[in-house]
Amino acid sequence: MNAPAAEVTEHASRRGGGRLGRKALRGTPMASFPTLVRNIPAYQMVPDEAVELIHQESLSILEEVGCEFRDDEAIALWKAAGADVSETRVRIDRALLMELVSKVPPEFMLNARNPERSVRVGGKNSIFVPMYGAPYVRDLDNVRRYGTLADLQNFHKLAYMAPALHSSSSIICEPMEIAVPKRHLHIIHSALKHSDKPFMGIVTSKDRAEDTMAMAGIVFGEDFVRDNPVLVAITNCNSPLVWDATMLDAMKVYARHNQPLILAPFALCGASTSASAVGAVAQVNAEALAGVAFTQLLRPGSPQIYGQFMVTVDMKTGAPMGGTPEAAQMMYLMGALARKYRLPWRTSGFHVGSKLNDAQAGYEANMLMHAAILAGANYIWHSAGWLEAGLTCGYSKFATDCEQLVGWYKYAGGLPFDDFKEAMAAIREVGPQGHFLGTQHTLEHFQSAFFMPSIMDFNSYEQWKAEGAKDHDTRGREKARNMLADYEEPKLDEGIADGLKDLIALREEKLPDSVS
Amino acid sequence: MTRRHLLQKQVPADRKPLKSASASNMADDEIILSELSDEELVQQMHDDLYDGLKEEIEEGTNILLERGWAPYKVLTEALVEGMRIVGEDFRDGILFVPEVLLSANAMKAGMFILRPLLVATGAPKQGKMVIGTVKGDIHDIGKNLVGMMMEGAGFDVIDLGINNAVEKYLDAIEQHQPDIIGMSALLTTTMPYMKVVIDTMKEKGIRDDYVVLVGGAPLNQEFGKAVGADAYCRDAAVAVETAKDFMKRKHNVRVS
Repeated sequence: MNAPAAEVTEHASRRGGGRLGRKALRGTPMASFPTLVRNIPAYQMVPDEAVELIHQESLSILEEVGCEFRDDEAIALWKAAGADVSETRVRIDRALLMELVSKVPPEFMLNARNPERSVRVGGKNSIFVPMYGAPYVRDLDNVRRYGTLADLQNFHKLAYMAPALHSSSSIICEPMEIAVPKRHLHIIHSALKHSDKPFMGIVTSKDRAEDTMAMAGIVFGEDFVRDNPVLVAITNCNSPLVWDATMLDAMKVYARHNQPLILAPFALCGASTSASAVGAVAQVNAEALAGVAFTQLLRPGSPQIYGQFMVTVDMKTGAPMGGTPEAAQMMYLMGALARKYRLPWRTSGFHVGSKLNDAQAGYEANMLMHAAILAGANYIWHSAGWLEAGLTCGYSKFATDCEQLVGWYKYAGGLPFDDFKEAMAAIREVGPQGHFLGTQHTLEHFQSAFFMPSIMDFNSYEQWKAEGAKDHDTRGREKARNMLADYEEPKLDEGIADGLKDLIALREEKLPDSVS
Repeated sequence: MTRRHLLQKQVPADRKPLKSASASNMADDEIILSELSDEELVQQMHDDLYDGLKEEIEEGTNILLERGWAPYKVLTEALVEGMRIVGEDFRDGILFVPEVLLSANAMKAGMFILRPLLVATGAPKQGKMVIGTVKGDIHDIGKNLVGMMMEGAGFDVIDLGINNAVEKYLDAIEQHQPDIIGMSALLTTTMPYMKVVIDTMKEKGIRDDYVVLVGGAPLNQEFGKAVGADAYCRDAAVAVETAKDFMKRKHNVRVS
């Protein structure tokens, strides 16, 4: 995963080694992991009969209670497909539902503007995606304030540089100083300019979704984006059981371009679902399946991502929680259902409730990511930056999350046996007593054998103290600062860069400066 | 003789020379060391030490000696200076333990050639250390690391192994006449034995003739002071730095 060593012009170029050679090798700022191919079994927390029971209950909900689709065109499409429609309520027969769901491909390729960063989603293929939607940032000086375009650009740069992140997301934080009607243009522009990884679409209105596709068309070619996935867009069901017009509008734009949507109910369990983990899953599954089925009315065979965002509410206040045991358990159920349907599925990884990048954040993040990985999730979202139930994106949290993702990438990749024979030979070489630090096997493998984080500190107490006795949060901020200092923008064709600017100028002339 | 010929000659057929993965990834143009100027050769030896290339260091050492360099000049300008760079980058997290051991090994190979010549020419000594894990303690990974790093810095190291009673240290002192005594312990239950050794040295009136360095995970600065050691060394790199400092002071005292 090392980039070629930089050219060394001083004397060391004779053998290419020595201090300069090693520094060039170690200092490579840009590395990017390919799609995570999970090489560990998915863990199923309940027996098959329990999965089947939840599945059947979900289908009964859609047949008996039905789901709201608050849009005329959507209603017309459902009627034409043979669903039982009364006003905006759609009751979907289980045969029709499952026939539509079965049209979704189990895997798809998500194209990046740099083909080397294109990834696969579905089956054993998983990707890590940074957070989305924070109005606040916790900045490099540890101050909590509204996000700006400069912050968003910084997060896109960090996402580009983080080896284990497979996407730049889009609205990592909101650029609050930009007028809402024009904001989406600058968000997408920043994602496309500062990173060459896949990104995410805007869903807050039909026009904004169309602007996103127009910008994607400039970068990838208009023809290409008619059929090939280049972005992922999130549409949330308003639990319980409502798909509203705004989301349906965005679905129409993206699905008709064959761009995958995440059909994910945003469920505050106990408030927008029943106060039961399995009850909540049965409802959310029904909502998600209804959304997936609808996309297949728009474009049969279009790639989609089934999914969920489920956190429990704190009954003391009504506030959403984060890394709780039930959130983890519900992921395992959703994973089992997704595999049953052969659908790529999304969950979140590091979506904690903690205000700070502190011990609570660490506990929560670990509870959630461990479940996301073992449950076999394909689109592991909110994997960097997230604090305060998504209200804040923290620079320190972002950097420390990215470091942890390198560990999880390795964990999910399974245990390699390829050097097992050499490892056994090393035992015979060293024998009792002595040590392994100087064996050929160690020299060849030490860099990849074990996780080597830089923000986590495993130094002696004295060394740690000598370096300023900094806590994890402080070290995370420093790492983010250093990464930003090292950032180099990926190449973007000049014609494309100008094309994006022209489109933004054109749209800004037409769009109002405030919401009406 | 080209590098490849050299390797074929000196390395047994069934074992490849130890080489770090990063070093072996690099462009491996053949260099004929004997064709380099003195200055180029010394710089190349710094690089080769950095990359832990033992045979190349042996060859470079021999070439410099053949060209009439004083053994002490070879030691200080080619080897010790090269290891100084290695030590710096180890401290800064650019080099890792297995790589530094490889460098130390290459240094040791050069030292092996130089040692008798240094003695014969009466060159100033880098220093000699007796090191061992104290009585009751069988942990030696840390102690071994320190020993190897000290050798890498040009020290002569006499390793007493594990579980050493005070008599063992005293015998070694008498036999080897070291500059430095190093004691190591991993257990809180064995670390107080360091005081036994130092107190015995005091009783015999020889404590001040030697530098005593102590180390091990449960120790700290205060403990080192309390047992009467000259310094506590928190890791192998610090141990080398501390040892070098004390040797420098010792030489200065002698000069003045």
